[in-house]
Amino acid sequence: MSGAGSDPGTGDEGPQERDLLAAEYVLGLLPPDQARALEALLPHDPAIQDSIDAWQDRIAPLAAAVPEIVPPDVLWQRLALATGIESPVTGSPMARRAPGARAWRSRNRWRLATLGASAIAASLAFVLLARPALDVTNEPLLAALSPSGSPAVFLIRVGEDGIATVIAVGNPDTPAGRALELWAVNAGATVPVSLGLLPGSGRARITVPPRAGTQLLVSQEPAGGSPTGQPTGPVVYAGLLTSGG
Amino acid sequence: MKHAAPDQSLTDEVAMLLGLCAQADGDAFRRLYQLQSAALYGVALRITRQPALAADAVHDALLQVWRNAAQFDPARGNARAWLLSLVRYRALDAVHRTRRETAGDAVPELADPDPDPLNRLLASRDGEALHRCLSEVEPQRRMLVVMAFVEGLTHGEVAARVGQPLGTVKSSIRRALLALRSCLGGTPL
Repeated sequence: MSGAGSDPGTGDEGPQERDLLAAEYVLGLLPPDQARALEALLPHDPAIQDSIDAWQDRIAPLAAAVPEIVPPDVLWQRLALATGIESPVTGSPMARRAPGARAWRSRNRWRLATLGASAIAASLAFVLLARPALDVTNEPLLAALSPSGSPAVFLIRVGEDGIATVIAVGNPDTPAGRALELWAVNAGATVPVSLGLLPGSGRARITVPPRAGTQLLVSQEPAGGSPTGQPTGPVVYAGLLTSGG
Repeated sequence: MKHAAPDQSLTDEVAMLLGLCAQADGDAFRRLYQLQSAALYGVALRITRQPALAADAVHDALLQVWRNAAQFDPARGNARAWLLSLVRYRALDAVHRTRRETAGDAVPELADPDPDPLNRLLASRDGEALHRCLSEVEPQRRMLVVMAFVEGLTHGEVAARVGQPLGTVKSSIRRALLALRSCLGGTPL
């Protein structure tokens, strides 16, 4: 191997030299050009990668010497949007809640989680597949459905591909024998249109008009849904579908 | 042997959450964020000294975790160390892109070989071992290593900070690293 140019010097030196170079890389001591040169070698040099892994483990506890600082909540919102796992909604109490504020049922839940992520996902979230009806925008449309003045219970994200995802982020309050029905009130309209029932778990197919400004309501209805085509029970959650961009 | 430190169960949990993230489990990712974001952001902010850069470093690293969580191999290393490294490398990249343009600016407080921050290592078993091994390193050399790690400084920056020749700083740090490796163990070379 040639040791010319900005080669960090991994060509001729012994294993100790290479291990020290790995340590310096892990600490961040190498100037950027040398660090990049070392990174370029990694795919071809498993020994250096092993050294780096070992040094990362050795030195990582030193991070405890740096005080923890809670990042601004907007960092979580950026990540939640980028990963598509949640919809930050402007103006909603939910939008300002970092996940630390979320009530986790139990740490033990995660001990059981090795059984499979899909079972957990199914218990907490269900996906509603929606056909795009009108003026689909490039931005996802978002709504947080919540009791008045309270944190969101459902988050809805209508993607540009027309697939709407509903995530239950709280515990939906559904008395036995009752169902939760989702309604849309288009901007300027006064009469809600039923979008279908929200299942407690599993999947359902529903059409959510991808229109910003649509008011979404959730009412408690008899099992099977409203017999009249209009909400008959109390509206328990509400939110506005807004552009997520 | 000591009983398992609480720290170890946290590491185990993080490793498990990474496994779940590899299966696109959003709740696991949220939990991971809840557990680790303050530690990661603290480290990134200390290196970058700019909240926007620190947030970007944590954001980009965690997004990579979400997309490539399967890259983490529990057999190869400690889950929290892996996460920390992802964030540190990004924070270091960020300062290399920006701080260099403002080289010469006074940087607020120096890393002090003050015993207090290092005592925080004693909260974890791995940290305890590192603390013990660091305490056996000659104090001036130890200070250089801690400063480099905590502040994210290159050899040249450390040398400028302490007013010593580059070669002296390099060899002092290497001696400290050799002592650490010998004390902490690992694959013999």
